[in-house]
Amino acid sequence: MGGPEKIARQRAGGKLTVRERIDQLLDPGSFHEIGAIAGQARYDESGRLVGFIPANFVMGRGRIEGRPVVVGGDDFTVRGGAMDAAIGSKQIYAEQMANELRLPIVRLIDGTGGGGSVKTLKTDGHSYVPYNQGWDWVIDNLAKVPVIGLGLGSVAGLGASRLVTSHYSVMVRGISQMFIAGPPLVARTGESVTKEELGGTDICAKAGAVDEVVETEADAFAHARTFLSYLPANVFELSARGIVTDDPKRREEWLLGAIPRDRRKVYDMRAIVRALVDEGSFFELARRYGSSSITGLARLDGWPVAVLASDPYHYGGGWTAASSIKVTRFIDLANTFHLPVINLTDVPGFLIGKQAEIEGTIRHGARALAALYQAQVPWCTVLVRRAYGVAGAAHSNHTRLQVRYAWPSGDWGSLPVEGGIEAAYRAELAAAPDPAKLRAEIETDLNQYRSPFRTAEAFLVEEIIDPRDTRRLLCEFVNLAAPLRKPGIVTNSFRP
Amino acid sequence: MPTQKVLAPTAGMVTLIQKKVGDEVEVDEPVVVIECMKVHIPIVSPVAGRVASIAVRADETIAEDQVVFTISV
Repeated sequence: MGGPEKIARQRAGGKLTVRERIDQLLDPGSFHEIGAIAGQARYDESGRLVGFIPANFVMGRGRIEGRPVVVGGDDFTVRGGAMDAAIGSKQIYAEQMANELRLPIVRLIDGTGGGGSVKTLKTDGHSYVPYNQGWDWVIDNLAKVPVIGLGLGSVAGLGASRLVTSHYSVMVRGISQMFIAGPPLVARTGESVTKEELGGTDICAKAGAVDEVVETEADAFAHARTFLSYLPANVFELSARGIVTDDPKRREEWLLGAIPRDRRKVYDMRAIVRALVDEGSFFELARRYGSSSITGLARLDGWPVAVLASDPYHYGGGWTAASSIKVTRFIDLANTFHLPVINLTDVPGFLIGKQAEIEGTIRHGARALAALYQAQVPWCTVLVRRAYGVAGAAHSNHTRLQVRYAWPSGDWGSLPVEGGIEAAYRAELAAAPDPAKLRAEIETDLNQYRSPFRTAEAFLVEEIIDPRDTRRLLCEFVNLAAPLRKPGIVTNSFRP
Repeated sequence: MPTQKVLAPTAGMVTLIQKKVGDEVEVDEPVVVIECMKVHIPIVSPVAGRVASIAVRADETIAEDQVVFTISV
């Protein structure tokens, strides 16, 4: 590392050293380092070693819960983790090793950009056309092995790109910031901001630039280990069934009243998710981004699954531009690693209004719809409450066999009655002596056709179930789905 | 006395203001209710304290992350 003084400065900043990080992340004693003596050595005229700057990237193989992984970490104590002190090939080697040995990779990122310092102009004697070295492996890894980025310092430029080019990214509050360029460069554009103001954890999580914010580095390592526990080592394998810890027939009585009879009332979808999956197994992803959709990993009867759900507390569960992007990315994650999807739907449609149009919601929503129709993984939907419009229709791919259950609180259509009366009965309402009275009469009349049981009678929804039976049916589904999962690389065609 | 700002989790229209300045509130107690996509979303106090200010009016359309009220703790 960079010597006692630099290590003391690293600690004073509240940060662990790269070697402490690797030790905490991996199973004890499992780290096998590669390229330990790589660095810039200086020799005198008689060939004796007189100085040495170690490479600022430490990497190798190790184990997490007994399963092999690749880990590579920036050493910020060596010239700030910038690439100009690195033996660049080590980073590339780590990515290629993950790719060719088909192992998950965890990046411990605590460095700046790939270009390092402008001083290299003088030392190299020339400039260069930028390229992102190793990026072929970095991108190919996304299609083949789980990739985790942990932001453990101020990361900018290439470091920031490495953090987000992952399946799961985490930042640590207080010690971690992420930006394209830091405050000194930004100041030259006339904007004066601190590192926290520019790229603090709250900004990055809300923007969806990273998936998770934690309080300590130990939390970040724990999150990385948990995330990997749901996934196979690579896309050529399937997730193993975990130990069965929960009764697949467990019935939660309160689910019967979980959805308020008043359609305008909200409820706690996360409590429903937690009640349905194996106890303690729900691991939420990207909670602070696109919050009208809940995404996470969980287990059902021991089998890892991807859980998608609506959160009525945010835009009533309506799909925003952000939640559409989040859903697209989540379906891709499930599809890449062959995780069956459980979708608990309460979607009133796309968010409407001028702001929604400014954000291009329909384009992002259409992309989510494309991801859904491209997905090959087994899929099971529970219509918990609303499914309206195009976004509501996105609860499943209707061209596949629909393994679909509706709760008695189910409420669906192309347009909710409340909002559609004015448009459909404009002439009648205009001619009525008391339009408000007529409107109320029409609403009462139409609402009687709204019962989900009428839809089931027409076999336009397959089953209406007792919510207390949901867990049993979902557990049955995952056991049916397990042998249907297909290992291999997933490719998708163009999306809108 | 420190005050805590409470922001709108979602854009919407204010339908109900359940507390007034000076009222005591518990953790998770609703102070304002907004309507969005045909549901009523309560905006609750994240802390126990006293309502220091209410920054919105009934029937007002508010934006995500707009300050809705403040609580002194």
